[in-house]
Amino acid sequence: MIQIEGVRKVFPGRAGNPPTVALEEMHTQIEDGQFITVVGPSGCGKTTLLNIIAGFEAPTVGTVLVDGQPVTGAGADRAVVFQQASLYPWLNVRDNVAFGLTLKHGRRSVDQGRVDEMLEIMGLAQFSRHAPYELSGGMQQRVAIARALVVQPKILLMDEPFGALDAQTRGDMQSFLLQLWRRLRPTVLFITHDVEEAILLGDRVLVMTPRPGRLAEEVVVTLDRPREYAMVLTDAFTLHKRQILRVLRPDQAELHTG
Amino acid sequence: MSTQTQMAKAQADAATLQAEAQSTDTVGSGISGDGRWHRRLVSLVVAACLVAVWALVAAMHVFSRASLPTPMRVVHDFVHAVVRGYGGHSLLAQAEISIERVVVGFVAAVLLGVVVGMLMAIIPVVHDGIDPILQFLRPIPPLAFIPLLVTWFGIGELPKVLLIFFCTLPIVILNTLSGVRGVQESRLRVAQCLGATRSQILRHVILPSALPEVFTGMRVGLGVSWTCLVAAEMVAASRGLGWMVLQAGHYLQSGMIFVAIISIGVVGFLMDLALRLIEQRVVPWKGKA
Repeated sequence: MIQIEGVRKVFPGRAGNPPTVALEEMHTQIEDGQFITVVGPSGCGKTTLLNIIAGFEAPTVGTVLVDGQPVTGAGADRAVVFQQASLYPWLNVRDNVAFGLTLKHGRRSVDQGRVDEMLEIMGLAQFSRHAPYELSGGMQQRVAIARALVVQPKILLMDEPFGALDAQTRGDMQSFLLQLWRRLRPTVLFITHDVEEAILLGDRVLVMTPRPGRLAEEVVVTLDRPREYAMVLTDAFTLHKRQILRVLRPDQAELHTG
Repeated sequence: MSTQTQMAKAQADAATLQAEAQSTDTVGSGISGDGRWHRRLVSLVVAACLVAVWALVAAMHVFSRASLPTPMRVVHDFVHAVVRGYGGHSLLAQAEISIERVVVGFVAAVLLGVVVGMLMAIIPVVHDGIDPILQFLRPIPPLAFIPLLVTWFGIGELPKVLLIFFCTLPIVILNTLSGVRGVQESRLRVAQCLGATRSQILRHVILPSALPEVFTGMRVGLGVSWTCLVAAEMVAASRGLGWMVLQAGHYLQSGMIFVAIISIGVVGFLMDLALRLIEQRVVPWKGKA
């Protein structure tokens, strides 16, 4: 379980500028195995939130607890996938996936079976000897996800992982991620600026607004699992979308009628 | 992009090595073998035209025969220098001694430069101690050091190797430094999340990430080494290609001056080519990721 308790993040102003409140005081908690999405425009503090949970940045005030333990730095229990796949170009696909295991056990004692299995699940088996830059963007992102999951983290933090992909690939990757999540059941915190993506993937959507960044609303998604893309046409989906857009686009009067 | 621009790029200007790596890359993968062949043909035709103009001007005796040799004269002197030698050593032996000097100074500068650059990037105190010295030394032309080196160490091998070493060192250091500093944050963070220790991050992420820039530094540094060496040989030496230029100049052997200058260019090009081949093997991802 992740507990976010009174977390606030202020970046000091540089060159005479006033300090920026990146994240206004925030409370929430995430149960094990939940798929949480965070949606909001840029500058709403969603990446700051992820960085704090990951341990890359310390909150100015408040604490993040993972299974009751305060987060003090990055750790192998929390894997991160970024918008850019950030693969290591000097390693082939297989060695990228095995990277975490290599660090932990040494090159010789890597559990090759586990790497093979992960490559298989990710549909990367026949690309294992390829260099990362020989793969398409979607494939690269799969390698990044595989690299994160092979060490069996309890928590998967994803910062707009499909933001750089084209619409088709993005849709494929969404359903792929959902299958993967059903199978391995990590706790997922998935950041996006795409409202539809947030609803389609999440059990719960944290809606954030900018200046200062704050948690404005939490929406519990009532769509059944397994999810599929056609659900965007259902009334329940539209209802959630309206709910969220009301927060994100308060100036659009039509959202507030009906 | 026009053919001319591409060709100009291919001329391996040291300052734009990185950009060059990228542009030849995109073009190389996009253009068929035919296209490449055409570009080579254009290069050859232009070079041939230049030689023709040279031959024409020389034949017209615009300049005295002693100052502008004909292409045939240069070919003759070249054969002479290769077969009978010049100044007691064959052209190949002259080139060899020059190459040896460069390689010793250059390799030493690379080995020390990479280590110092890494230390500067990682340990702030080291950076603060060394950076001002580098910034001070950088704008001083290498030639300015030659009289001092000759005074201290004479005209043997040591002053030349030292000159090359000290002129190449800052370039390698600064490129290594910027390579290490330029490591993408996300690459470091991914490793942190996978539980990497500081030394593991250094070895498995930072070092390989910095390699492409280290190679850029090496290529720029090799160019500078070669320039320094020829300069040093022209001031104080008794052998080597630079010495040949000066010696032939003293005796108004313009054909031999051309032979030496062309040899300097060819050897410099070949050394860069060799380094480029090594680079392609060691950092095949350069410019791609």
